[in-house]
Amino acid sequence: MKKIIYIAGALMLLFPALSGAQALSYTAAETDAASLGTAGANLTQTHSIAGAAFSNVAAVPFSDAKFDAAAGFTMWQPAAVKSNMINVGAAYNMKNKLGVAFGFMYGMNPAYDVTDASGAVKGQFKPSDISVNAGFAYRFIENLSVGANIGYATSSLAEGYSYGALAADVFAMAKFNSFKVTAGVANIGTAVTSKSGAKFSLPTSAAIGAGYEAVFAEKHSIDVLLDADYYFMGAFAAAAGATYTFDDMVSVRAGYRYGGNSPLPSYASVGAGVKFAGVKLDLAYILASGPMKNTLAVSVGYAF
Amino acid sequence: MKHCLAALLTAALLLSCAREEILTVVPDTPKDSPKELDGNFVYGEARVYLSEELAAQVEEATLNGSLVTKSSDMNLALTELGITEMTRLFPHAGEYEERTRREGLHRWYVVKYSQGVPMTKAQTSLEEVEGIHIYEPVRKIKINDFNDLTSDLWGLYNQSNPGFDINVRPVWDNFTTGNPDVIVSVVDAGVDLNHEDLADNCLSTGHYNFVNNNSYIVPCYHGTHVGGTIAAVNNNKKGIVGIAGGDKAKGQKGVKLMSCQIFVDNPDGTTDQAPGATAIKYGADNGAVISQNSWGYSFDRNHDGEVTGDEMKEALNATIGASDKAAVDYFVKYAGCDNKGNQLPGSPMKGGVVIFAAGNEGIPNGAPAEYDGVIAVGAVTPDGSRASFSNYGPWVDICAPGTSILSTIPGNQYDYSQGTSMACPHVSGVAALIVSYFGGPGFTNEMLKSKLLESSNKSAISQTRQVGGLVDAYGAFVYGNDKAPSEVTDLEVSATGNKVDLTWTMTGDEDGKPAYGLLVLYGKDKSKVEAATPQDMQGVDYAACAPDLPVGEKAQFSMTGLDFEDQYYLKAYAYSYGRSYSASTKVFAVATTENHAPEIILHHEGEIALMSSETLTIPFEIIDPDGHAFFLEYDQGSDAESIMPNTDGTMRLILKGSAADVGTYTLKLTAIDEFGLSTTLPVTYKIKENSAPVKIKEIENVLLTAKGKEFIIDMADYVTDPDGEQLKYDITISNQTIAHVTSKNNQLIGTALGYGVVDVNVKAKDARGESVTFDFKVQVKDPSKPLSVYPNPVTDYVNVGTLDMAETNIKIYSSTGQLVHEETSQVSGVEPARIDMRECAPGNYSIQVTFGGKEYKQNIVKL
Repeated sequence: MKKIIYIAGALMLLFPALSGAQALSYTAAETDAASLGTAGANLTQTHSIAGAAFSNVAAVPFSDAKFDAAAGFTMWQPAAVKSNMINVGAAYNMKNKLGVAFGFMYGMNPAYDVTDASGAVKGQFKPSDISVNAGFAYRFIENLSVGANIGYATSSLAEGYSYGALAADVFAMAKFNSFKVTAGVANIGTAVTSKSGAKFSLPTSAAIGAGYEAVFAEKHSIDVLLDADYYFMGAFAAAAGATYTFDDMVSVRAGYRYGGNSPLPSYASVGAGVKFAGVKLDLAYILASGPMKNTLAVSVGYAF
Repeated sequence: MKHCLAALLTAALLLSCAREEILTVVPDTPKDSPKELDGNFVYGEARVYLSEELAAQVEEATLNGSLVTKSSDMNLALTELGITEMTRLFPHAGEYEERTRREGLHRWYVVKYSQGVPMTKAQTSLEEVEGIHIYEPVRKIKINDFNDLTSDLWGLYNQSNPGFDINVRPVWDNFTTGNPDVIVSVVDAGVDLNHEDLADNCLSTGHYNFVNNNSYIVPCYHGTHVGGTIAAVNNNKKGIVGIAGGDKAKGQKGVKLMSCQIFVDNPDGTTDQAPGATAIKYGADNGAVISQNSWGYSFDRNHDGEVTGDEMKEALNATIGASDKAAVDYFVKYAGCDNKGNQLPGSPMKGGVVIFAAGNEGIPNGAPAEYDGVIAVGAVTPDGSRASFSNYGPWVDICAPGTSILSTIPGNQYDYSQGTSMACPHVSGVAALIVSYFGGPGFTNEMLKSKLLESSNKSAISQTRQVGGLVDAYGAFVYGNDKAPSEVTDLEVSATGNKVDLTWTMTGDEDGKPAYGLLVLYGKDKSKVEAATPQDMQGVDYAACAPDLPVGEKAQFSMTGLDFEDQYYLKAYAYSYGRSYSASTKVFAVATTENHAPEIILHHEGEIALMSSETLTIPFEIIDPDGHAFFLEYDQGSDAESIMPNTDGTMRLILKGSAADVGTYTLKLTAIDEFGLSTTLPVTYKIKENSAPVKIKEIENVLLTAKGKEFIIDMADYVTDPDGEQLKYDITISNQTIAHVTSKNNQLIGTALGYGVVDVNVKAKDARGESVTFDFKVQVKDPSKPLSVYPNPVTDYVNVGTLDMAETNIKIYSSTGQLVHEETSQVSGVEPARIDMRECAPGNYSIQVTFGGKEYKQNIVKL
């Protein structure tokens, strides 16, 4: 226990947790429909791994799918920043031994009026976000795998002002029959410097996850997921979600996230999905009173 | 700090950089031998005047092709000095050799010896030779040209200042334009004999180049310029007019120029010289009756362009050289005459006149012009002042125009030049005109001089100029040919200071023609005044005026520049234009009085005090009781002062309170008359303590709800100045595109130009710069957009404003929905909430603002 605290303290030194918003905080958000349906709890998700490049690639070798790819569209916080996100992800599980994943996200933010210090309008600008990740996992023993994602995230905020950072996730995952556990560090990355010179770290967190999956009477299965994050900025967050699947064809999902002071606030989510002949369609909807209210995601995928 | 105003000066000093224009040769100064290594002299050459016996021996030897004579002294000198040549200064004169010998000119020799021999050695050796009476070193020659293009033949016809010219037009109209029988020898650099405007009036033969010892004349600038003034062809539709240049259109020929070249300009800028004496005599032996000489002696030993120190002493004491004097005397005596001194048949004049430029050092001496035997010519400017460069003194006989003189130069060109060199040919030209008309059997050089000099316009050029009267061509022609006016019988004389005022009734001749002028002869010696006449003013001074009034009118004239508190005697003559003088008035005794200092009258009563904001103008005037010109000097008390002249001749003292610190100052006005007597008036003034403006209250923020709307702020409600000053307003606006604010009188006037909020800074300051500052905002609000969030993108702080003052809740969320800021406060458009976002990472944010029961949202970007 002392060692864990020590390591966490060292990481905090590496990535100074400045108060206030974290740089490129959207990298901490799960935006694909399958993950949003369980309120973002997805670290031990092994049934839908198309978004593993943005979560835990170490889960890929434990997946029951050999390949999973999906493309989605998310209306992010329509009551607040009103971003539209397009995300594409794919993962390949090679003989349940190796796992690779790729992910791309493009966020389109609404244009804003550029105003000077007096409030005079000088023009307009449309900000955008891009995030590209790739991951690799290796299941070196039957019950244990390790994996890492690495990527680059950038935001174009104003004419001549773009901010970017390298980011990485590192996880280890173990599975014992129906139980799955994982632990790692998410969003380790380089700092971003503001125009006035302040440095801001990525929303780095130490994360753990656990899951339980069970099959009843052959056509009924349930997957329960639990994630917890400790953000080095000094916040704790946790998410819990469950997926019920009938005949490996129809799924319904629900979840809740406790955001605390983390970059992502609390919300509840519901979701649903259908899958036929490898093609799947997933939906997710956020129930919240704050900015996350009415966030909606849809994705189409293919898995076999 | 001492200031000097040249106020009301009747004669300003001309600080002209005029340089010597006359050509120069070495003076004859045997007792004042040049210093060794004096670069101003010709080494290896001297002039000597021999005894009759030695001259005969030298002549005999040279005829035999030898320099060895029977004189052992001379032979010794030949050896010691390495003498290589001895030639007559005045060569054999042919038919005129008889008179040449009679005058002893054959005894002048030029001796050339080894250049390695020091001049002092040469002088010693030659002076020790028995039979050498005079030794002269030969000074080098320099020519200084200076040109300026300012006016056009004003010397002949002065349109700017009528009366200050040589008055030659009436002569052309009524008497003559010249006569080819009259020959003027131009002893100078070479005349351009082929110049389009000169050729007709140049002798076809008879010119001589004394430098190269041949008859080929090398055209030079100076000689051609001089020649053009005398005899440029008139009415030929080319170039200029000469004074005695004939009338080409009427077929009248002008006088003839004989170029006697004693200077040759070399291509390398140097000038070679020949003896002027030889050239002067040549003129007399070859038909010239007027010898024109615009040259003189040089004293600029170090060739620095200035005559200073010892050079000046030498110049001030110089006299004509013996050889030059001999030549001048010869010319005067024999020009136009045969060997016996009788007038030649066909000669226009018995005897000649030698006319010399006075010189350009601006000193009271000039050699060789100072010699009585020549006519010395000074130079004047177009307004009748003596040219600053002109030498002067009682020895100057007459003056003529000498600045900005346009004339011919080689190559059919024309140029302006100045100097007594340019004045001299004006006199030579008028002399040539006189001889042209009056010349003939029985006409003598004395008659010419009388007409030329006696008729000079003494009323145009004051005697105080010391350059004689202004040459008057028409006056010379009518001189003595009209009737004298009757004498003045009611002359009243009074004196104030050193000024003597004369009042009389104009008289006329028997035909009723009014007198042309009044000549006053005066002096301190009564007997000399009594004895003096207009023709013989020995020992007295003169003053003249030409009142241009009809008979019977009262005329006035003031004589200035006399000594103070002294006894003078004077008498006056009325005279006609032809210088026919009336009988003299009686001799008056008049005593000049003491000089009175100028008075300074300040038109201000009581203490002089002013606020810092005030500018006080105090008129003052300076009156000289004696009517003298004066200077004004003043010692400055502070920077607040300035002195300006008024158009009516008075002056004003201007005190600007803001230009100096608070305090009491004293300036001193000192008026100094032209004789140095002065009066000083201290003027004390006080610049009062300044009171800074006082703020009454702050200026409220301004809300405008449409572009183009205006607002007016009456600053009297916000600021006051205890001194009652009208304050000035310096206005700074943070964004000129949103609002414009300016001041007019005591109001601020603003106009909305665009939407937004600007900070307006107004500095209300008094004349001394003390100020109070106001800061307020002007918001120009778009009514359709109640929420204002700016700037966007945000660097550090973001402002959130509303339309009207309201309690406002503000929330800012990150792009992931994290609440990063929340506050509730009273907010308006001009008093927005100012939110610190320095610790928010770069990214997209959503701001949610609630006021007036409504919620507004907007995205912002933090950089």
